[in-house]
Amino acid sequence: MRVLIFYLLIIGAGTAGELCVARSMKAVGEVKDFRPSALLAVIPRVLRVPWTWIGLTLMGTAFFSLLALLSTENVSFVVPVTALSYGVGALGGKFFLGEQVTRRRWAGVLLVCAGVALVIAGRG
Amino acid sequence: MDYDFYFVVEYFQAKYHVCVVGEPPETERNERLLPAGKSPHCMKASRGLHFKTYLLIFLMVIFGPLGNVLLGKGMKRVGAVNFESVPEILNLLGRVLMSGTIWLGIGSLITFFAAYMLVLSWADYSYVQPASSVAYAVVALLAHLMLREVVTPTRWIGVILICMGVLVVGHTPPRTTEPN
Repeated sequence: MRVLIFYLLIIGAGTAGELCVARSMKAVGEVKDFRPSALLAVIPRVLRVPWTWIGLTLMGTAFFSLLALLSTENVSFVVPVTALSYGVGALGGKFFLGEQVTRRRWAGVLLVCAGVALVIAGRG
Repeated sequence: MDYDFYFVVEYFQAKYHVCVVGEPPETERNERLLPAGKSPHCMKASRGLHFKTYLLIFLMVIFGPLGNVLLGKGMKRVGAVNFESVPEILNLLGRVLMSGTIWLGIGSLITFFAAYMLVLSWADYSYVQPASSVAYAVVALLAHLMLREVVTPTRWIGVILICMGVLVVGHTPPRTTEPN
């Protein structure tokens, strides 16, 4: 049961965190200059966007859940199982946002789920 | 309607390649989020990738899995996480923060994360995602090579299916149906 909560946190908080961070990066705008000084100059701008902090908090939660799982489970088991987020995303998109999910995309999601099922079945 | 909602919708479209019926009116699009010439509603998937995009995706595919594997290695040494009492949790946290392997893992993940944030500042998620599907195979390979984890043939097939699935989700054009 606790293990299940950790998986849900990795998938849920991880995805929500990505969403916030993606949003803050879009607000910062395209990074065009790759000199180290210019990259460092981006950091304060990124940190000024509140979405960054919300995103980092959520991603931190997902990170500690991952640590907790990795203390007992194999890496080659935990990480593939988190790919279930694609299934959660497609279902969430369809039922919460009223999105249309095409058959090809369902096929992709089904492949991911079948893969996760095999990863779980092949727990040797 | 505020564009927060559309941002969520756009993100889900990009990440999971699903399509929303209806589109925000032109006037409601936020210029910063949706630069001119870029349709928020399912962009064309065949634009050329820049060299820097390839380079950053390469860094993501190497450092993401490496970080996970290093965290796994460190946590196996720290021991099973136990939430029985507050001192125990603090003790555990102390051991986690004293582990060099975990810091190396955190460093790798920060590298991964920096590459990921940079690439997201110009590239659509739909470009980045199919390429990063390889990471699922890399993580199994590294776990096998570095941690001697036993990856059974069934699990390998499962991992390959996951990669293929993520690739199929990502490689379909973001929209194949007409909006109403």
